[in-house]
Amino acid sequence: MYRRQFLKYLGSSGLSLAMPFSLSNAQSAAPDRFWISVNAGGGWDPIYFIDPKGDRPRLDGRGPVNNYSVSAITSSGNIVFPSSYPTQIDPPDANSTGHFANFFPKHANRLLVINGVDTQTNNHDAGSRYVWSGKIEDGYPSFGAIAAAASAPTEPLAYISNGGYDNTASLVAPARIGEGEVFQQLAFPNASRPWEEQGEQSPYFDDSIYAEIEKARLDRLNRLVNASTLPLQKQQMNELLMSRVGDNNLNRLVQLLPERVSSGLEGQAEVAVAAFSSGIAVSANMHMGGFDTHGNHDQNHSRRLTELLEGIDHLWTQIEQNDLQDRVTVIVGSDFGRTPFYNDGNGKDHWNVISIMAMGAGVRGNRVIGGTNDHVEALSINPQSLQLDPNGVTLTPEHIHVALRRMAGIDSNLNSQFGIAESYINLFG
Amino acid sequence: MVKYLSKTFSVLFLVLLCLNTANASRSTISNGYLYVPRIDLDGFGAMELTFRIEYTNEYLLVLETATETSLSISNSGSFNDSDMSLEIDEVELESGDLYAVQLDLVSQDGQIVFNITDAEHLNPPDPGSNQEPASTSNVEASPLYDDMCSNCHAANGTGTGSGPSLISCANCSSSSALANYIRDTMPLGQATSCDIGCANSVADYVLAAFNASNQQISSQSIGFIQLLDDSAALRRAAQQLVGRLPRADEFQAISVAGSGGLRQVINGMMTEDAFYDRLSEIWNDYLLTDKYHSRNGSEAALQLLSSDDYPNKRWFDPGKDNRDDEYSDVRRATNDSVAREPLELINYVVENDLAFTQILTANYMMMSPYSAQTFGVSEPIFENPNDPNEFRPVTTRSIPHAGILTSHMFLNRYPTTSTNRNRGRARIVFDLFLDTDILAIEGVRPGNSVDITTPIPTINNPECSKCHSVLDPVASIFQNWDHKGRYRPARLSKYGWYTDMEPRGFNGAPMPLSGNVDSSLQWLGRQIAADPRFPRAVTRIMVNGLTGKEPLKSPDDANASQSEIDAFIAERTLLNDVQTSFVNDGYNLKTLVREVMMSPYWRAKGLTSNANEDAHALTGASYLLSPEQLDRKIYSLFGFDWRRSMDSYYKDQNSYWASKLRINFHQIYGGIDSDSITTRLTSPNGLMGAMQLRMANELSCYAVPHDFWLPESQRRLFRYVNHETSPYNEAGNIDSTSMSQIRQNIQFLHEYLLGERVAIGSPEYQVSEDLFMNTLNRGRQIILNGGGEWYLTRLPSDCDRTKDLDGNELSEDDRLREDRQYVIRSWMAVVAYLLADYKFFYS
Repeated sequence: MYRRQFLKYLGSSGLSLAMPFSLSNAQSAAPDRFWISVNAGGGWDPIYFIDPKGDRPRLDGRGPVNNYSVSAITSSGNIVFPSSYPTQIDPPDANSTGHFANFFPKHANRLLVINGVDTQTNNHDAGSRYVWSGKIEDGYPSFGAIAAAASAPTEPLAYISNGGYDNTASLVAPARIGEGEVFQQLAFPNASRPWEEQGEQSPYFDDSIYAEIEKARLDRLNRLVNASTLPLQKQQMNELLMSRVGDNNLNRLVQLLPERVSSGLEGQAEVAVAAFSSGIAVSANMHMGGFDTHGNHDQNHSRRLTELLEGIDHLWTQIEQNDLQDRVTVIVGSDFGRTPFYNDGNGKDHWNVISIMAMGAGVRGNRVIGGTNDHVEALSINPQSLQLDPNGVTLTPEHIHVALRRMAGIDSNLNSQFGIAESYINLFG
Repeated sequence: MVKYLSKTFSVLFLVLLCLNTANASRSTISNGYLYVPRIDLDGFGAMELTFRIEYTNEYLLVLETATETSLSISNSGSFNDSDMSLEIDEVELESGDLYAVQLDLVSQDGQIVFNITDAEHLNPPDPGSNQEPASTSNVEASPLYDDMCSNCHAANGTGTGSGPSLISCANCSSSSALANYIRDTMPLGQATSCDIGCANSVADYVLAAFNASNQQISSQSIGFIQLLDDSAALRRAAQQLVGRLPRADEFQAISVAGSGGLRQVINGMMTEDAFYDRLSEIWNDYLLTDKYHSRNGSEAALQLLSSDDYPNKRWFDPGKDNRDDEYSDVRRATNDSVAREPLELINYVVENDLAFTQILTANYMMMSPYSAQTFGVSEPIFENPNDPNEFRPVTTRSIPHAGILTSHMFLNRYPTTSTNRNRGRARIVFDLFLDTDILAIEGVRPGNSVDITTPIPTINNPECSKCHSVLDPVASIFQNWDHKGRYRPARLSKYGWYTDMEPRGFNGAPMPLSGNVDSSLQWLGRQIAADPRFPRAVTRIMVNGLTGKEPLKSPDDANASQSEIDAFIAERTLLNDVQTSFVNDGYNLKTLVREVMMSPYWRAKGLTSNANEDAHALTGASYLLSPEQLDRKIYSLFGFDWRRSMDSYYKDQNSYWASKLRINFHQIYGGIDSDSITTRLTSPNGLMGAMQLRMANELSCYAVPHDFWLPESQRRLFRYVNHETSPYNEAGNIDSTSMSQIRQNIQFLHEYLLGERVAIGSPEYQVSEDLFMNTLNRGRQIILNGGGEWYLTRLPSDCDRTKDLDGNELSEDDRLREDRQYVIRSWMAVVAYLLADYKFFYS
């Protein structure tokens, strides 16, 4: 039975009351709005690239904020960035799509940079939680989870997570992907040769027999649900039931995946976009680590940023190839920022102020909102004009998430269940 | 009187009392059971009786076991068969109170059930004392509490975002313990403002106002839980602890001694190697030191060690041109010996029944013959110098060991920086070993968290010092270990330790410098070992490992429902008793494991119809098996891993990991790599559901023909049939003998694979038989319709047996490929159906 048929069946029979996830929000139509969170794990350094400060010496004598030249700071449209790297490191390949001089001119028109976001912490767990859920307290769902829950929580890959903060508060079941080639095995569980064309896949069971086995399995699960008197067990059985129906939709994902899925961030992008395009996913966490550069910051951070920007560029290529540019919103962030000075090991330690990047559907690009002073302390903005204003408000992840939730149409039930007590600022539109 | 006793029982039913061998005739209550050591019954002799206590409008006692007992034990009471009443001379309660009790038989239809009809309090308290449980409403208000505590802990003690609940709190084991804790640490950041007199007063109030009726609430809640019988509990215990099915002698033990036998069996399981594999998984889920296992890099652990400190760390490498075939294996084994050091310490402490506090106080570290060479230890201390799995405790002169706290792996897994100053390490110590979330006590953060106006914000800014006064003294204790986890005493460094930071200390007390300057982590280990939060922290981790979820968190939200509060109180009260058993048995972790597994939460199989479901929303210990646990379960049932077909099984003979659940599907199925993926998935998603189906289909294909192919004596799945046992005779009619064998085997498969007993002819059984028969009939029709073509009579090619397990081709006579009667494939259908079941994938 296909998932959507199954959901209709549940709705008509009243059984949806027993289901674990927010089926009241579950749509029988395929999702058509998608969300990607790209996490630079470990705490990135915005002043290295999108809130550039250059090598001006600090007034307090702690040396320069960065080691690249102030004169290297340039702009493409309204997006400001350094066109070159510190001279003492090996710079990235000049042709790399992740090189600042290539990435920003290419994407400036669709890029929104929000500077001076105060995470109020320098703890990895708390920062990651705050930036991706909008709450520093425990137990709140990530934005990807709440977006999936609001739109299609029962899709088999509703919320794809490749790591980072992926708490779901039991709204949806997060899916981890692993290596791309296993999809064929999972899309055709009755095939001993799933990579062959249909008809040549050597099924373990004749189709008619397998249909009876499948029906017996689902009937059995339903009987167990009805017989169980432990709420926890009943919930688990319902979750299992939901994970089983509609697996045929994975066929479509397999057809849309590249013949060979890439590794790293690029592979995560390929799977996420294919899953969106096949209508079985709503949101995805892309994740790469290595930004916690307490030592040899300039070289190590440059490599990680290049890989990150290459991944985002590849992601956008995938989005455009699948004609999803008007339906996918991409948010890029990190646990927190890094100090506006170097430590004894030429590294940079944790700093509470960061920047966020966004692009795609619902995001008006070629804009920079907010800012920081030379000490990289967050500057306030006017909530209406979005201009710097000493009498305005200091942006926090709460503002980001209130705006994201508004854009995603999160309903009042979910918003009150996982409330964020901050007023709305139209940051993205 | 009866009403009073019934009420009193309600206070007791969760109490964890062990049988008191010194008073063997005295009856006791434990884990919702009443144990009666000896009652003489006509025709049966001296019997030990165990009653399960249930609550359905009144308390009922259901006879669970009646086993012959020794005549040397004196009588516990008498049974009067004229009126079917049972008089028990002494029932001992947790408080030490003794009652003489009369029980009357109310039912013997299927179960033998008694109710309580009379009782006499044998050691009544001083008439002047107050026997009624206290409650907030009748305890005189405390101005001290209102002034100093209620802002964070709430007026009703349920806690707020700034302070935890005080109901069943970690330090609430006694008034003195709580008073000392308050005196030393409270209010946060102003510990000196509440002296011992103030602390005594507040402690008394907290216990009287918020904790006096915990036992009553707990016993009432637990009374609604229906428990697994001993056999089912045994099967669950065997799967969870040692990844196998119970043995016959273990079933025998519980049939003879009931729950007492189960305790013995659990004790025995905790001596097996497999238990320590599981224990390592449970602790690694928190420590995450397997980040440095060779799965994440051949020398992931070795490269963390300083070449200055350990110049021989790569002792196994003779140089690029001189490496032999064993180089890679030895390198990996050496790395893993180093990586697993903290987990091996835990195993060693548990295996040798040492106080579990030694994981933080051990003056040694664990080494294998391989890692010993890395660490430069040359003394011959190993029985087999070539066995990388032989771990021994070694004290090195170069390091003042403090168990895990000084483990290189732990210190690297939680590194520090010149600005972090070990605060990250301190936070982990509070979290893992003191069950205290430092971040949760930070309260309201200042608008701009970067305070550049106060000279030393962490000391002088009250908003900062609230947390840092707790955290920083512990962070300073790590000062002798640098950011790479190397032992480098701060006093010997050029700049020493930071002076703009709280000095070394714990719980408000400064660390005495004498004797501790260079070994301050040893002092910290001793402090934590003596802290009442340590057993609570250990319990949290073990409960998660055994039930799939951590204990309920205190309902700090002022909007928490009464059901949520009651659920927390019920579970916390029971776990406090479990912790007490753990501590009283010398911090023996085996006791903690056993008592958790004997508890009604672990043994819950259902709720009575009148239970409050909201208060039992998370009751039970069923959870989605991890990929590692599922892998072990498959091996225990079939004798092989889920990897390739049996004909190709030999190809992975020498692979380090060959199981699909350890490689291809490990991450998809919710496994962790201890690095970027650190939390397990506990709910299946669409991919996991698909993987389960694939696993069920593949394994039925591999296991069913393989089992039929094996000699009869080695078969695991088919004890009553062979691959030619058809339900039809040659005339095409049902063969009653064969059908009987088939039915027996279907029944057996339900029990073998799912642990459920189904009666032949029952609805659940009938589904399986129908599936078998329908598959057989449809398959025969397919063969008939296809004109009996050869490919229709053969098994799918991945399922047949044409090679032995070493890859040698079998002779034609020894092969199993043909399935002309569709019998084998019909069994495959039944097995594929059962293997996809909830009971297979959940503990």
